[in-house]
Amino acid sequence: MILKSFVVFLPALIAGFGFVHLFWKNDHLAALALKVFLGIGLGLGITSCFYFLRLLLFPGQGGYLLIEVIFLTLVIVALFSQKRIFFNFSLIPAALTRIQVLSGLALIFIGAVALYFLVIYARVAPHGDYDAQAIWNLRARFIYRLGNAWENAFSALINRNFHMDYPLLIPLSVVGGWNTLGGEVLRVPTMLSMLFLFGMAGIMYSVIAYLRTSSQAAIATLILLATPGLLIFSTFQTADIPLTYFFLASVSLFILASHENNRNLLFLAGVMAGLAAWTKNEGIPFVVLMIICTILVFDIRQTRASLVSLLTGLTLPLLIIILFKADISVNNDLFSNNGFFEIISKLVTPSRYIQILTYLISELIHLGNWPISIIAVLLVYGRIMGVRAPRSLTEGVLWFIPLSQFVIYMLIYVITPHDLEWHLNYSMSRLLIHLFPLALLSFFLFVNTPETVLRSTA
Amino acid sequence: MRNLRGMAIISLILFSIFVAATNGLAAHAKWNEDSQTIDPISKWEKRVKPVLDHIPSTVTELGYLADWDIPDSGYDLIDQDNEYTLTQYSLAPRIVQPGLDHEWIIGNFTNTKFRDWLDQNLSSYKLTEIGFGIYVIHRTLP
Repeated sequence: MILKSFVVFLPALIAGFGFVHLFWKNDHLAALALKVFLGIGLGLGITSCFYFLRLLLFPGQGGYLLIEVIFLTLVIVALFSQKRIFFNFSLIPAALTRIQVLSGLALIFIGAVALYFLVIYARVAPHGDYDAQAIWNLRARFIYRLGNAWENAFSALINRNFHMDYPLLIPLSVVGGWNTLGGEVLRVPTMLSMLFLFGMAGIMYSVIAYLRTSSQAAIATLILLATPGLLIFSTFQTADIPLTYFFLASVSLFILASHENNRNLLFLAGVMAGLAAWTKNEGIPFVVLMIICTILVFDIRQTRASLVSLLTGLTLPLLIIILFKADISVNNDLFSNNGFFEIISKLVTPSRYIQILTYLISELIHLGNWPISIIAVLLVYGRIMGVRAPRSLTEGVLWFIPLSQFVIYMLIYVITPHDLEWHLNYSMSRLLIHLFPLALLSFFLFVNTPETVLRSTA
Repeated sequence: MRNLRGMAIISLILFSIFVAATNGLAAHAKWNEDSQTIDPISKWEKRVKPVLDHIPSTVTELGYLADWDIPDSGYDLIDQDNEYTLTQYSLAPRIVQPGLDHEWIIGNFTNTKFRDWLDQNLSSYKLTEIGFGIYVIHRTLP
């Protein structure tokens, strides 16, 4: 069933790859690899957007596979018309250094262990974690089992604890998989979790390999895939890992857009940011941050055109989100029962900040459940390796996105209508994991590469 | 400095390999522990799904009562909340709402005082035991 669950999504994955390839004319090997991994989220995300439209417009629930095939066909036709169907890359192996061999082998080992970890958990915990049963897979079950009456999955009678306002990229991908396979196959959400985890690792590797070196890319990725907390969250079948994937994809494309002065990449960054918002509500502030970054980073003469590219990419996912929010009339739990004066009163209560800060310090020390603080380890590593000066404004403001998203998360805790202790306990480790891959990417783009330091004689 | 940097790189890689190996061993131990048993979610589904055999298929909303409704009954709030969530997860698309405002109610009790409590709060009802502390309560008078 695990293979069938993969095959169900294969047309979307290929279409996603083709879509990225269409907009980014680069046949460098690392760029092609990056396109494959970007294609995972883009293919699944765009398909889920069109599947939602299909549910709104026509009765029944079938047609997920048809949407995938139409998407793939359109992409292939576009590739043919643009004469982009063939790749022009060379596979002549370069001489590998010892550090490249070592880091590469380590990455293969750690990747295999991560896969083993996910497969074992898929068998012993096939329904995922509490949030999957309370939110993500529950929503998929409601929609799938209700058939033509799928909109009742957002009935106001359903307990608010089940967060009916959360967006649908993941539940609709699960429903699409189930409809295609003809039943509620437990491996479908598992496969989605695997695709997003390894897609994220692939993006991390290929973007750093493209912009820096292969051993730097391998080290960043092996840290990502060795992170116990990240692996555990991947087994939960929640939307956190897909959201993290879209954050990383969008920021990577943003950096490349600036690096290559290519507005098509900015368009793709917009698509990925929009899909982040279609995955989880935390993606909405991320969209705003991406818009701010585009205004800040690009030359004043280019700002308008750059902004248009980003916003064009955002259009489809944002349109779908607006349709979804208009179609269901459930308020977000953070802002209902939380009046303006209540929020102001919380914002000026110092004890809340102290409580959050105390909890945050403990969470940062244990970030990702590493046995020794990974932040301390990386700080020492960075100190020894040295850092390179940012070569562009984009690199200079690279930390702005994860830091701003982090500040937004902390502000949400300040104003939360829930019991603060409970809310911190329930979600902070997850929210920090959203930002961990972005922080790793920023770190390894700044720190000197093994190739650089081992070549130097200092 | 070059040697120190080389050592830093090797140490970081070895540390990551060590942590990854620990992850692999933890997963292996989990497999040895749990592979022979049914996962708790599937187990709960098996327990609770038979209630549907006793409820008309046209009923789309169900009430839900548990130990948390009975005054002075010792209960673990997290367990109670998990069981309620799992009941909704198992019975979707039927909507399961806490409380006794519905004609058909699912009872999930370990506390033996629940019958007295039901007698005090419902004027007339029929109780069907499903097993494992799960009951179907049919209110026969509003």
